[in-house]
Amino acid sequence: MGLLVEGVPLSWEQTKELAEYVHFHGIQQFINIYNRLKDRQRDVLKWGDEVEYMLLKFDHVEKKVHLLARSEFVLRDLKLLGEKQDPETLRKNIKYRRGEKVAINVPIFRDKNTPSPFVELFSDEASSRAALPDHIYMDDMGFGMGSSCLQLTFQACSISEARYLYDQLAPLCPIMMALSAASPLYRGYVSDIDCRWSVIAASVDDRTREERGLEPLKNCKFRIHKSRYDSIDSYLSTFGEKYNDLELVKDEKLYEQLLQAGIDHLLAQHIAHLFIRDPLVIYSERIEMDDEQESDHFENIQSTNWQTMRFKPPPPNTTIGWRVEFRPTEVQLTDFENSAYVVFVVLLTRVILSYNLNFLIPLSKVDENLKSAQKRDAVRQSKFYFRKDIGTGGNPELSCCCPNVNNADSDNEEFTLMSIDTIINGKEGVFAGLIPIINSYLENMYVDVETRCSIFNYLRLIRKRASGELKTTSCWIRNFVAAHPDYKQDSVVSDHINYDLLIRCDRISRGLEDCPELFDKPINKSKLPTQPNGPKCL
Amino acid sequence: MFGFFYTILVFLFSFFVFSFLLQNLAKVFLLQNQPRALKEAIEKVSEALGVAHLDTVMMALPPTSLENDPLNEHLKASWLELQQLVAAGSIASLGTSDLDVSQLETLYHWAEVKPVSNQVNLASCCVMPPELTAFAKKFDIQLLTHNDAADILPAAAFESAVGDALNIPAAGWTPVWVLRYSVVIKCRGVIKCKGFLVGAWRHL
Repeated sequence: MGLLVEGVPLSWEQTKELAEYVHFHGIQQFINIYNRLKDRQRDVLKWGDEVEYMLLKFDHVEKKVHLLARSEFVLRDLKLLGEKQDPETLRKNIKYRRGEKVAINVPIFRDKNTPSPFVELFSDEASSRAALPDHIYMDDMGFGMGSSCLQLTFQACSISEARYLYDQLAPLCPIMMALSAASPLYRGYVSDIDCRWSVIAASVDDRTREERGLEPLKNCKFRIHKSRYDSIDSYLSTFGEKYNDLELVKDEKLYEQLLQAGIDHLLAQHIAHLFIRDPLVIYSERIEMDDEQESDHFENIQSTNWQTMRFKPPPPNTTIGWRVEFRPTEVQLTDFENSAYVVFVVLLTRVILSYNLNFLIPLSKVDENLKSAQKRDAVRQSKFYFRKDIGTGGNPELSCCCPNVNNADSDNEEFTLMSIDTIINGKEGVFAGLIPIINSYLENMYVDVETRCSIFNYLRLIRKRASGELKTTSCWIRNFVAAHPDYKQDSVVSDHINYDLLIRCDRISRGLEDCPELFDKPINKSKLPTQPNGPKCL
Repeated sequence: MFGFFYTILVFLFSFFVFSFLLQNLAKVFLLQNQPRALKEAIEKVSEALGVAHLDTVMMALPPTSLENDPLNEHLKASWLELQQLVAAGSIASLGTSDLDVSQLETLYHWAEVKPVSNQVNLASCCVMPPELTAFAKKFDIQLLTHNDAADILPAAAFESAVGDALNIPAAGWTPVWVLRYSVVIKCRGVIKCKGFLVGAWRHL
């Protein structure tokens, strides 16, 4: 969500000048929080999900749908005013810092009548230069940050547990992204990707040309490999240290400042890496403050590093503990589906802690997985690097592979390529499967019938999305477009197709219509309906 | 897999857990109608876990016992044993397994120590009989799920376990009880340890 503050934002020139000030005090604020709260123990499990929405306006006469830019009225009705956001300043400053407008290029889906090459003509030279052939071009933060995500934050019992869970969930990010894929259409075209991640990454990429390696370093301090919105670059726990195989760009001065204050190397380098990013928005009323009591400058940098996982220290002067945020999941149309994805991850964390599991693989492999996860139909067609022995060997119920299984590409390696179906549902002789492991955990927890029934419904959704029996939202959207009478097999989504699609989405979202291709009706005293297998994805 | 020994799977974790944050749960499966087996099972698991008492003990009678026992004599005999253990402070609360509404009702009204829970098979968790849910709600009995097979310890499994673990033939030994235990960290949903114990008797 970002920092919600009252006040007037400074101009970009003024903001730039205060970067070093914000960095120094932000680090100090983190150090103060760490020293005060590093020994905090026994915080209970609390968790919450964050669902992002779009406001749409339907024109039923013209059969068009527009984004409704009237959020302040809705926020007022929800009594949230008084906590203003300033996306406009963020957007402008990203462009100023970068030195040019952002460039998002998404590969277009090649259909029978899609022009080859696919090239759009733009009136301005900057766009014509930045747009790639055979890609859908977008040039503004809104195209990315306007996407909706499903985020999950949970509280750990201590800083150690938070660091352990942060690491363990990182390799699961690409898996959950592929499983929740819901974003195939952009700017009126059908794309060749199923997820929003790379689009948002490019939409807030404030790196200068020097930082992106397009020009030699002269005015900028670092060559930076990723947008400030992208996957994590280092593990935080000692288990994870040996799998940190990505080059970690960090501010050496700030890194030293952290080490001097008694913070260990792994945590120090993580924070120093976050702090290579400049503050994008600074409020005039929130510059000078007591670093012991406030954490605005730390949060400024922390909350504008949008990564697949976020390690969240307790805010000062609250009872909130160390937390971990899981951020890769795509939002679904219904509360039921969103709950299923969220509950699946929360149960996974309980299983990880109960059985001391280990999912760690080199971060370079996790990044490769993230690229694979966004491809069209990755859930059914892609393979993902996954750890072979996750540490269930001590538990006969969960023992998986025959060690003699001959794997062509990675015989002695700790990881191998697996499909989403194998990872989630298991495969004899290869991997036990995350759902069978969760079910084994639940058998020892003596769960009441109502909760168990809900969990059953949620896990059934995940199981079937992983096996392909149920479509991902992305697949369903593609099929909807393909089957629409107006569609000309040219990758163009007309206003009319868009309208019909969104009408249907809205009705499903509000429970006015079922969608058996997307999810089964949750069982509660009624029999399970049989689902026919739908057509293959585009 | 199991034998007449105790297997404690202790999952070590890097922080110190205070004992009052733990919940000790046990489910005893009686394989024979031998109520005194309950005391033995409870004693053994308490010893294995190093605890003075168990928080909840759930009891499952031998598979066909309930059908062949219209007056619930076996159920009552076993329950009397459990009540004694509660009185002695070895168990804090009791639960039942796979009782239908009439059996549960009979037990509930007859018992001194009321059951706090009744387990039902996972397969029925989404299609619960309304009378059972209503009764449970009225008397504050939690309906919990389990996924245990009716025949929890088939003869072949017992034989191979005894052979593997104790290196003796199983002949002459009769398995009388199976106990599954879980130690859970309260308010965090984390299992600290879990396992099975088996008790077998023979005539001397």
